Amino acid sequence: MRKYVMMILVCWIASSGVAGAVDLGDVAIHGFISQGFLQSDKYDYLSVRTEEGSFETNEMGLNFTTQLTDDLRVGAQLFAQDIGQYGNDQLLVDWAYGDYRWHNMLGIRAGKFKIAHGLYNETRDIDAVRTFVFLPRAIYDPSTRDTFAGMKGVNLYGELPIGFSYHASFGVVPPDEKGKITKDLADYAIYQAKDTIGAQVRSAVIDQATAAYIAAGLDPATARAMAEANYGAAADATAEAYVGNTSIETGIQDVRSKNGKNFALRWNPPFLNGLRLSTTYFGSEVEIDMNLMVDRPALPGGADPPAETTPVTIKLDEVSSWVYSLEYTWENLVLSGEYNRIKVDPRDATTTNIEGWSAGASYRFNYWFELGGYYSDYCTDIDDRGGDKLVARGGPAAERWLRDACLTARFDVNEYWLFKLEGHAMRGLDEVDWKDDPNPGEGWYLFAAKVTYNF
Amino acid sequence: MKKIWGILSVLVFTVHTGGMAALADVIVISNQSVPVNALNTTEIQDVFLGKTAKWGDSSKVNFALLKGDIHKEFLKAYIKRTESQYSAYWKQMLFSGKGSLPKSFDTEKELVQYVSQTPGAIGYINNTTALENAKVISVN
Repeated sequence: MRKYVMMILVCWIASSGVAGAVDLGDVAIHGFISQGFLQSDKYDYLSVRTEEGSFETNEMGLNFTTQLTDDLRVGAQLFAQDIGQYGNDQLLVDWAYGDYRWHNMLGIRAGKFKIAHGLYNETRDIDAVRTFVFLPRAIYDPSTRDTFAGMKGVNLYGELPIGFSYHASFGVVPPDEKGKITKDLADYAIYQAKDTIGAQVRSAVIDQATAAYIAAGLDPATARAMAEANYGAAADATAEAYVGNTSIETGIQDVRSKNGKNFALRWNPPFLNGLRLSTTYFGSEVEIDMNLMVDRPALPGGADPPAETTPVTIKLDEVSSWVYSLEYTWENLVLSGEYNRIKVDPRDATTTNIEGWSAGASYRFNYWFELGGYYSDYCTDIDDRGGDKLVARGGPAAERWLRDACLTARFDVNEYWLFKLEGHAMRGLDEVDWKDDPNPGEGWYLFAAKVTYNF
Repeated sequence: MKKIWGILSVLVFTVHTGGMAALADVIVISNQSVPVNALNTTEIQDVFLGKTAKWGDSSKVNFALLKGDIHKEFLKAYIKRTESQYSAYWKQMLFSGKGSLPKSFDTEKELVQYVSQTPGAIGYINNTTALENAKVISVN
């Protein structure tokens, strides 16, 4: 419903301005609306039913800005997006702030603003300003958009001598309750709970065997060793079967973040026109309150225990990312390269380091045609590059990575309308639903098409 | 072989002088209140990319664009971007909330009028157009 309200609003305002921007007095109104189509030769990607072909990918936005005084500008952008299970066309305030430009070297914004992450995060939702349908996954993972999209707080920015510019923000970045970070942490809580239950069951089986050996006259230490030696494998199997029959669901109660920080330093060297270098940092702490609803089966010989609901809080001491970027524009040719390192540090578990890099090029042949391509390499845990941990858990090793060779053709019909055709040759299964294939191969193809209107 | 070099030399000379002629045709103008009389190419870039928001006396920079061929020549000569790159840059600024689209005018007369009447205004026109009350900014 919200999707249609937003769509009608965008179309109505766009038609009021015929083709260009709408001016209501001193308020300028601009917007965009995009609809995509995705088709893969096998597997579903990003929880979209790509194998059968799906239109379940779209985004739309509408912004209002006005200059109140020479120094003060205010504005806001409403935004809705859908890609598989993410976004679901929920209407969000993408950014909304007052912007006071005191000096060329210092401006201050207060409200909600975009996070600087790599060169293109601030415009990742705006199809019209980039060559590709999908930005490189290694840097701009669509499933974590909710975490990297915007920050509430205060932002300082400005231009410095010899081509430097900076951006420093402080505030909060609460992940979406239905976003990937929240979902991953809920999965982690379930994994931890099952681990604990499995350990309890295994211990109960070994305790029972130990007690039997003690009753037969062995001392406790020898009895324990004998129980481990003779019943260890059986205890493991019992625990595994028990955990397999235990159902655990999570109910998210609250998602909070604190100590959000975002810095960017960019440089356009005056000695080489067209070169842009950038470093960005983003960091935050996250806490999620959830209820674990556990429904476990009866132990052999025991009564069926009642379902339990246990409140738990998962804490991430640090979610952070560093991105190093380079872009060089020479007439109609644009070359770019980016490296990304993300750290996810839960309080009571091992730190995960995610790594990605990409390199790409695009060339505009004329007003209406542009061709681009990139290669992107994404690894979801650099301490397990080969995917051995995933294999131990029964999954395919290739779920650890996604390597993407992409080629795009962009066609600009006019200033307002454009469409894109894009092909991806993928190797890897991260964010891929391979569950229907008992022996999944890592190679697959994705086709994307997208049409965009902006005004 | 000499013939090929000859043709290439003529082509290079034509392209080169063609660019120079275009550069010479475009002049940068400003309102009388603008506290500078000369800018270098980097400073012009910073103004028309919205990086310089204030003049030296802290008054607001109001830059304006002119639609048409002069715009393309100006972008190529001073901003070092194509029309589509410049348009994409301002859409990035607009939709990320970092800036508003610049004012643009269909005719040189309208642009000159705006620059003449708006404190802190700066724009560009063909060098044959009447200046009204605007002043010419020399480019270093």
